[in-house]
Amino acid sequence: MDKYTLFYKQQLTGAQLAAGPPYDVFLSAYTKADRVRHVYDSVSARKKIWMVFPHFEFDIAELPPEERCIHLAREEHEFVHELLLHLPENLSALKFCIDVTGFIRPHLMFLVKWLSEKGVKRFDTIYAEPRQYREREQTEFSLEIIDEVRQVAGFEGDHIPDTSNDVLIIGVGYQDHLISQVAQNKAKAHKLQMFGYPPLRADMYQENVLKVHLASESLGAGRVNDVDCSLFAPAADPFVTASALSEKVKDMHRRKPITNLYLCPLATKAQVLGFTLYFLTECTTKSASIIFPFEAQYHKSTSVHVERIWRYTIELPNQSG
Amino acid sequence: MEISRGNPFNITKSVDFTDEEIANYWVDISTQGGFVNLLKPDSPMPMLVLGGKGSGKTHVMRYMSFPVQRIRYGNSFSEHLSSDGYIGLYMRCGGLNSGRFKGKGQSEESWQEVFAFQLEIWLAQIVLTTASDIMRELNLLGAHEEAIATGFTELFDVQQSLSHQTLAATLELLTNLQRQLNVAVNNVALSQRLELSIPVTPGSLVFGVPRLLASTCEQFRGLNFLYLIDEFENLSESQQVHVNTLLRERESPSSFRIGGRLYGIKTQLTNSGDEENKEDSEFEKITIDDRLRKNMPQYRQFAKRLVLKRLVEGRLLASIPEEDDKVDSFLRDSFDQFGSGALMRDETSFLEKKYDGTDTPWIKRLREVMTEGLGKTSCLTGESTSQIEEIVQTLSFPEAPILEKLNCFIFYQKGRKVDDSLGVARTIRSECEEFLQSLDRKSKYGTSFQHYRLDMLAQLLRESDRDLVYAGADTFVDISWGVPRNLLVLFKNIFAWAEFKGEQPFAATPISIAAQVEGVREAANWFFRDSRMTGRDGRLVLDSISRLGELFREIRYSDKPSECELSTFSFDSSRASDESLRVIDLATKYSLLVETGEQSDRNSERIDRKLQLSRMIAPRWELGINSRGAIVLSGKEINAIFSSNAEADFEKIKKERIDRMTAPCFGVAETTSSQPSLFDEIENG
Repeated sequence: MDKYTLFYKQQLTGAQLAAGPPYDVFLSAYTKADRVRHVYDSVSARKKIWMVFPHFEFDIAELPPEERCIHLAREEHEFVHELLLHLPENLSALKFCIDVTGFIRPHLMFLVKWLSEKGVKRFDTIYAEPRQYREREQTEFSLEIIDEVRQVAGFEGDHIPDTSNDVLIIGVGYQDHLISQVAQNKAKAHKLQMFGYPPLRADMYQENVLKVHLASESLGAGRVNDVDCSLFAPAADPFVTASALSEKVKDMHRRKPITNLYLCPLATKAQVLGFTLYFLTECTTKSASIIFPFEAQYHKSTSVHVERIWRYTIELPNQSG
Repeated sequence: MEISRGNPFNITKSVDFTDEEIANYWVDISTQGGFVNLLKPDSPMPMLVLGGKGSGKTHVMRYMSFPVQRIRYGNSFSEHLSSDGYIGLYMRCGGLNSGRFKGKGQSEESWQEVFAFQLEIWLAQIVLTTASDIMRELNLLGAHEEAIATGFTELFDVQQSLSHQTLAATLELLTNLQRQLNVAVNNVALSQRLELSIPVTPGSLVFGVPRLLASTCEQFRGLNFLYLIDEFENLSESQQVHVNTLLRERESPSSFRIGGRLYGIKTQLTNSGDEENKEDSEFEKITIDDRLRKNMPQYRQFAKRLVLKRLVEGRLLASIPEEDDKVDSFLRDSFDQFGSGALMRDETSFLEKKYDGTDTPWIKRLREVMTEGLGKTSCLTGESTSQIEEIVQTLSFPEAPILEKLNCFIFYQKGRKVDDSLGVARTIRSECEEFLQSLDRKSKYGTSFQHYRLDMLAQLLRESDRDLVYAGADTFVDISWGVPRNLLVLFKNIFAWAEFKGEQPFAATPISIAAQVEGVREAANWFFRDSRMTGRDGRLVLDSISRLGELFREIRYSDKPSECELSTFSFDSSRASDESLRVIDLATKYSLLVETGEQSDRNSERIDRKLQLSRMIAPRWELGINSRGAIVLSGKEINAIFSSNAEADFEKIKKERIDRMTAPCFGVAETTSSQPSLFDEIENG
């Protein structure tokens, strides 16, 4: 049994969220999705904060007037410093919870890294699954305008010039253009794709595979169907995701030392948490980094209704160790 | 269905190859010295090696890199190294992760200094690792290591100490410096402070280490230390300024070959008093796909041998024939052919069953448009319904459907003001019958057939609900047009579709037309999707190209297409908006458009730019690939195609142009008076 599978994961209803002991602080990223609203309304907390990311381009009139909204910076390393102004100083002593459902992925990763640097050892995260994406596999999550592919701040690693056995693991989502861009950015790397399996809904795996096929030329021909190039981890389980990454990387490194490792979580926010946890636990001093295709603008709502709600208790590794 | 033997075209990118595969899969062009000679590896003059995606830059540069040199040299290492005259030091800019050297509250100058330091460490590690391999191979390590190690520490501005006086210790020092840099850069995001001391001046290691090696060890003397810096497009403008400065201030025995996409060069500026590097002064330039396109016979032979090499490596072919004609015939026989018969009888034989004595769509249309024009003074028509029927029967030619299609086209070409339309039809019929006997393509009718036969076939297929066919190895080579990766993607998709359909490609029977059609379609869609650039211009460029493709398609499938196999346009740059010129420039840099020279305007001395739609995406709009004519687009048309928010303007200009090619009135509104309109006078004058 590996360390990641010892973490706490719990499926909850809205009523159970409301009935639980209140958090000191609850953070959620504002979007128009039903599932984000539902969690915000249900959760029991002394202080609830909507984080408003500029990537959604909300007008003031679109925001809930009676609730506390803070507007944050576009860059992942800047937003957290603004967020800090709205949080109490004794973070590590607080009981707080983050709904990751509406988060911009690099911002979520950097926030977790930052909390880890601040000495926070433990906090809860919530992830609410959609019943369905609006247009199934044709759903557009963004305007598909990629500004750049680069490393996520704080996840920039200690890379080396030898690129003879670089590896890129992409947590593949529905957006084939993102997969292509990332794969092209690390063209030399041996590429693996992590599928969400079991998926959130039965048909989502097939939809996912169809989209990944559109990026097959960038991923490297034949690799999409190659079992050796695929990893599987439940779409709603960050801990099994981290565990699957850990096992696969160790196995590959044993067979042939990996020169540089690149990770790119494009799928569910639960998997983003898994990639983050794995990196912070095992990769901070290695020639490894997390890269991401940064997009200019995201759609305000891409899913309908709420299916399952999950609570993951994140326990962060000691960075000094 | 047989178990797949594996698709020999699966690897389409040289980055996916190991060093051994780079050497094994090497196919050269037939000029003296081949590809390597184009890059002049023993010349001290730096060179930009540009090209579209998949043009072969990386394959050539990796072929010149030391690990592949080593494989090629085999047992006579020393002699070959000396005769080659260079050591290839390959580096990809993607590995630098250069996106981290910006922002985070730090100045651009600070980041440029850190990037310069990173590049010094990075390149020095590559040189020293390579030198170490060579010296080990030549049993030179013991004799020279101490002197190199001592000299190495002297290259720094700040005293550095080594754990031992060995090459391994120099690499250890560089690794430690690299780690310090990485930690400092990583911490900036959290602390918002950049805390790094830089112990070396830019260029000290990049030029100093090769100089040190050459001065210390005789075996390195006379060799060019050739930095092969690939994926240059991954560097930001300010980072490129630093590399440009290194090119400008180059010191022997080092030189550079900089590989990048066509859009990859962001600046020629340097830090040397803000001077710009000039071509043929500070650097030479070669654009690989352009070079290959300019000698298509040579490219065709190279491309075909590239395909056969894959078949040999995939064990589908024993060896590559020496003679070019045997290569040609092998590939010709490997595919079902289409469109090559004199009168395309095979390609049109399905019509007999499909229409079975009833009128074909083009004959129906001929009757309809003339009936529509009946009684109108400014439209193509006959004198009466019965005469219209006589004209239709005169132009009908069921014994050779492609000629029947051509008859209608030539009739439409006469325009709307035909005094004696029945007489015209009879002349066309007579010329048609004569051509059927002689097949003389120099006759007036034969020339029309020669020029427009593929357009007529395309129209015939489309109007009969059939796919347009792109078939045969020669066609695929021509579609790839100087870009080997495009060729491999085409063959990969065709091979995959053939296997999917239960065929045995390159074995028992020729690859079916159906597999070829599907493969080309998939390759075209991939190329279009994959050409999307980052940033907000990405969608604008693709939308603009889609509009251009749509216009070309509408023209090609109109009653009276103005050009044959149209996929080229020319325009007067001074009439286009800045935004349109910028979008055209981007589309060219991303290989969606290809500059095919210049064209003199028919009515003035003006020289217009001429561009062709990429042949890889021409199938998306069912266009021809061997563009013969070019349409001149006005400034208004260019701006409606290549500007943002131009959809409405585009629909208008498209309609105006297509109306002029549509029977029976060809863009002229019906006049009730017998007096000609001003427009008629202008047109007829």
